[in-house]
Amino acid sequence: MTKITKLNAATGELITRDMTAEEQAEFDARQVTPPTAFEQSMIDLRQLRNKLLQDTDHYALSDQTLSDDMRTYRQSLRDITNGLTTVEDVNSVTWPTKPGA
Amino acid sequence: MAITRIGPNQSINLASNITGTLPVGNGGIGIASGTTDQFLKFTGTTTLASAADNAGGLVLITETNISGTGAFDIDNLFSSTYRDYKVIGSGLKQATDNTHWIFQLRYSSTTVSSGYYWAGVGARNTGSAVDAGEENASDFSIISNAASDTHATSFDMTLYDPYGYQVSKNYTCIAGGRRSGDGGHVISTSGFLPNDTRMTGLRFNVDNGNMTAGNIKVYGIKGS
Repeated sequence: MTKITKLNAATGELITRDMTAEEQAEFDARQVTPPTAFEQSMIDLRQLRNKLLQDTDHYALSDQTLSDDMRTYRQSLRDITNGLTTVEDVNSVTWPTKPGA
Repeated sequence: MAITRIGPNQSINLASNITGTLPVGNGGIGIASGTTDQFLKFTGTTTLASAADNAGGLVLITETNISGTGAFDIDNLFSSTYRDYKVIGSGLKQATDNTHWIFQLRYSSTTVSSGYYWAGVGARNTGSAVDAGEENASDFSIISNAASDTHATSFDMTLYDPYGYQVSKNYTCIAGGRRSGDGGHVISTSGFLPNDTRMTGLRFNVDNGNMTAGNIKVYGIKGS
């Protein structure tokens, strides 16, 4: 049984007790399994990759001409998660260099 | 008032040996009385009792060390005495790595478990930006991705008029510490709860397992 700590700020009474069945059910329902270290590293990697793609999205609009260098850069970003299986892999990725506009 | 030199083993009984007002340093003149919560203020030439010097000050309402618990509730916390509140959490640790510190508002022993809107921006020590947010969530966010190791998480939060009938309960918070699998991180969060109930308390927890250590202080912000 999980403990719950309750403080009455008006009286100063502080108790720690087992959760009631209702409190335990609510607690259990809120439990989220955290990502593993590798999953978290991939989440972070994709978040940064997506930001870098967004930064160059405007070059790929239909009324713009996308240079070959920019096309290669953006494809390299999309491919950066390929073959990664460990946190060390993720931490050692080499980011492509953004070409001049 | 005449001044008499007193010897090393002599003392003055302030209750019975002094009449009039107490002398103060630098030749100022003393005050005879004051009111609750006033401070003495020396202006350079005189001493005043000044309530204004205490305005905006923090008044400690409660301080608690938490350990080995799945939830920490504070009830009968908010009242008409203060409009806004400061909450400081320090040395916070949890059993499970990479978990999310959250809090909820409470009233009449009921925890509000829906309707929270929040957004956060921050950074990792690698320089990478961190942003997050939720609509109609089950809680307000303090910080996510906290590491469960010898390092800890801390936060500085302000709650705005939680006891008021305002339709929107607001908070701002800055939190930081050790990030799971990484170095440091910091995030600034803010949000609102569209609920016009007078809130009277708080619940703190993490989204997986127990909180294992930490200190939480709540202050009322004195308005005048």
